[in-house]
Amino acid sequence: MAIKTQNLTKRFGLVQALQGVSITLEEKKIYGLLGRNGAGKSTLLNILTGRLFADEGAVTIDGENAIENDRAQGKVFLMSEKTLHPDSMRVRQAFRWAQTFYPGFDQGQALSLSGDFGLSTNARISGLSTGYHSIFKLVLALSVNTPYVLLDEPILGLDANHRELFYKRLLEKYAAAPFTVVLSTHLIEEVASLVEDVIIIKDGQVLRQESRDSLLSQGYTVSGGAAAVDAYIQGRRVLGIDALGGLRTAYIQGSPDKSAPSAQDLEFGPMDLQKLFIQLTNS
Amino acid sequence: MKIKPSIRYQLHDQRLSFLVYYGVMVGMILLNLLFLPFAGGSDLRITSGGITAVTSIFFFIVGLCSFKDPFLLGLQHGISRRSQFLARLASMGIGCAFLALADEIYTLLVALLKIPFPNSFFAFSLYEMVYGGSTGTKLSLGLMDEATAATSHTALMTILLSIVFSFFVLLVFNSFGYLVTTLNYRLGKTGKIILWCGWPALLMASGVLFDANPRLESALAAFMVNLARLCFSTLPRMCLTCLLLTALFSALTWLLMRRANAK
Repeated sequence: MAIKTQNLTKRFGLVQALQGVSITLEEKKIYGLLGRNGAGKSTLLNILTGRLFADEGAVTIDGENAIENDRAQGKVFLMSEKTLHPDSMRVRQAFRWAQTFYPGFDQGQALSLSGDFGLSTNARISGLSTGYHSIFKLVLALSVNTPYVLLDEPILGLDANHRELFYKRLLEKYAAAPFTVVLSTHLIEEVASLVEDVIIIKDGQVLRQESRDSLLSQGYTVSGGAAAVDAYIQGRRVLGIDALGGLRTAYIQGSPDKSAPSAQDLEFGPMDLQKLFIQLTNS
Repeated sequence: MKIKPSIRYQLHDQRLSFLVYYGVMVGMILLNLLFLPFAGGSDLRITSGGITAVTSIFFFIVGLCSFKDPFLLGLQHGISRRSQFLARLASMGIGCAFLALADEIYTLLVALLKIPFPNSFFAFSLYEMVYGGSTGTKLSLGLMDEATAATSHTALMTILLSIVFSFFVLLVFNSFGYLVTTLNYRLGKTGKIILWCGWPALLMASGVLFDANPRLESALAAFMVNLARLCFSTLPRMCLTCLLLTALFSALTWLLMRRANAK
């Protein structure tokens, strides 16, 4: 049971948005879909949910072809950056229609979450601020009860309090009944502790797809004086280096060798997901 | 398949516009009734002739406004384009049936006003106006009196045929409006400019061409008259023509819709 893509390719004019993307989104896992602006994250999510057609490749949901398949698409909900609801629709009407289209939609939960976030259900969707637009879509996504929920920039415009509330409610819901969540976001530090698996996309291609722990265990950071760090990194696979005055931090692939003679004045630390992402996607 | 919820949404989407439209129509009659005592005696004639002509324009505009919002909402809720298209056909049929019936009820209600105001209110359906020899035409020409028309079997048949006529006419207008808006959605900026500037330019160019070639103009006019006769001379022909046009417009709409992306 999973969403699988095989060799997805999509081009917009001269721009190659996706190139041979093959990923698997297993059930009951929280994924982080990471990539720089224009990497192809939104295009990928839009293709998974049939909003865009791929030029080549296939998408299956639980073994069924997902393209133009109501049953397969009924298992997925995408909260996209763009709101697809009519401007004149009110929030409560959107909840009612969501219940019509998704039998598992929990209107009680939607109303409860709206109350938690301070979202007025009488408001017109077009009248909502950027933050409340996101909240409206998050409330839908957290109430829809589909096995796969894809969240594209879910915390766009949300203040810190609302972001924390969202993470809390998401984890509560996940703990109560696990489902697949894909978090596509640029705020990597905030979601780093939430995600189990990470998919990194760069220039329309999948750079990495593996578990967060496995990804982070493949490297470490070493900090210290410039000369000591330079000496230590000789012959090692360096992903990148941050320099601040005479201090340096190197991001290194492999296991730390604390017994090395050059390691004596250095500090070793775990790899940071955001740092790793930056180093992997910098070019 | 999520066709049923999709039909429900599409009908719901049109509901308000239907209410507003008939609200305005009834409001106009009520306004006439209100001002009747001040209108200077029995010479005032208020005629509701062929409301379906107005309803057709209205339903064409409804068709123009029916694509983007339901399409995007459908995509948001994981409804395939095929299901949306089938739901669209169903909701169009239901909408046409409702409007055809409502038009006839409206016409009959206005006609009923003849009872309290015998010389002021007259109402004919578009069918009666288009196809000669009908009750409406006979009434308007004074060949049949109101009492005979109301009780005759012809009157009932006329009502039924009017509904059938309106249904098919409305189908064509609505499906054409939907085709235009779907095409407009699919076109890019350049395509839209070419389409919306191209049509008026083409019409102007045709006007110039016909002015320069009167024989061509008369030949085309004769062809159009013959074509109209062939297609619309009788009710069954008209229904068949409307059905074929609706099928053509719908097929073209499907070709445009089947690969439409969310914008």
